[in-house]
Amino acid sequence: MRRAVSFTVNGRAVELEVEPARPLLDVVRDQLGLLGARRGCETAYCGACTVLVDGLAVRSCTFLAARAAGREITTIEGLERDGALDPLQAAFIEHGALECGYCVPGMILLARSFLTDHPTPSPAEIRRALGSNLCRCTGYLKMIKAVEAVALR
Amino acid sequence: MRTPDYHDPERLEEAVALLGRYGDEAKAVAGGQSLMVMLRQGLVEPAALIDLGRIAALRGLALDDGVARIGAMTTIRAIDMDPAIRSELPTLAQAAAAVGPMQIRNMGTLGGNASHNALGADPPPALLALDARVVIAGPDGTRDVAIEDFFTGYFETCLRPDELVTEFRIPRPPRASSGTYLKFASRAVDMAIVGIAVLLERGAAGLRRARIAIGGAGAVPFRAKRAEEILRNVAWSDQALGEAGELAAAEASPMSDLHASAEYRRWLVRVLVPRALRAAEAGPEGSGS
Repeated sequence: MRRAVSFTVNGRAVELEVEPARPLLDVVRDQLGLLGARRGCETAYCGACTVLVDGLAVRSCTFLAARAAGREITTIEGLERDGALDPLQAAFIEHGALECGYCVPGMILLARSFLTDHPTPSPAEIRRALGSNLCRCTGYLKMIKAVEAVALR
Repeated sequence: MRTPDYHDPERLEEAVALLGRYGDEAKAVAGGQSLMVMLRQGLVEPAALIDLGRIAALRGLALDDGVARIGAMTTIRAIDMDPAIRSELPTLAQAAAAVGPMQIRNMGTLGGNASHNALGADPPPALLALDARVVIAGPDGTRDVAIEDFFTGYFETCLRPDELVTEFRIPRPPRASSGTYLKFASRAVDMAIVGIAVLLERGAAGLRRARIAIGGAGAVPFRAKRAEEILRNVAWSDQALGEAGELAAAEASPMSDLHASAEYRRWLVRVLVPRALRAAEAGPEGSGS
């Protein structure tokens, strides 16, 4: 029972036939080829599949594909503007805030959504926000520093 | 894994009719934050998903004439960020803020959270401490039940297969009251091992009364009635708080699972009840988590 849905992905209008009850993650990776949304735990625990829906971070493994209709979806591939990295992407590079890199797209999109909701966060709020996603390599400290550098700029 | 039919009606009546048509073979989707996981894990295999996301009647949040009305599809994020909820119902706002990952607060809803009644969910104890009523729509119209009668068992509620929560009604707490929600969990993304919601009313003697609701320490979140009873019209003292903790621990009927043993959960109740009462006494901004 596929249905046609129209939405925007990374600024581009698309119309796709999707399986409505499947996760958005499948659409983003398998139909749109945007592999920055990672297939991690697929059970809403790790956050590696995080994308933005109308600017808000969601886990695409638990977001119904049909609900993309009319929405603006942003993946890590769409975060840069006119060839310039998002300040968070630049800060992650500057602070070396990655090791294996698997969680990084989700972390950056999580941080983007968080800073939209909380433009002037405290260090404690930043730490708590990044705790929403799992990273098994970095120990989080450089990621916290990178987000602090953007938030406190 | 079979692919369920998918319906996204715009009217509440259609959603109820669809649930009725599928018998107990359909699942209503609120925020989907638990249901999508259960689908992935094969814990449920419904014939249909009834997506409630387009039903305007389930949205909305208003505080007036002494009652807060919160639509079932209101997100946890909206509750966490609402200035009026934060000032009038800090117990609920803190429970919303305590819900694990940010993405789940962004998508998860109060109605979905309560209807799932997961062990260690944060909002249910707050709804209990606040004496919420739950408005439920079914084929014969609506009914409303006290929140204490809503949670009936482990991951179970009084909802029939063709019923949906439409709204929560929360009476404004009395003047000179303050509340808090205290969560104990090992990681930021986890459910509470134990979560305690309290609402205090101050009186001439010190404490007029306290409402104490506990999640994670029994098949259903519950009000610790014996602990509440000994806190009626008492002077504020460490001894009284300690006794309340002991009684609440005795009232709990926790189970062991991979997160914590029954014994540990009971111990946490004993320690956290006094701590939550102190945090509430310190004011509405008392530590949430």
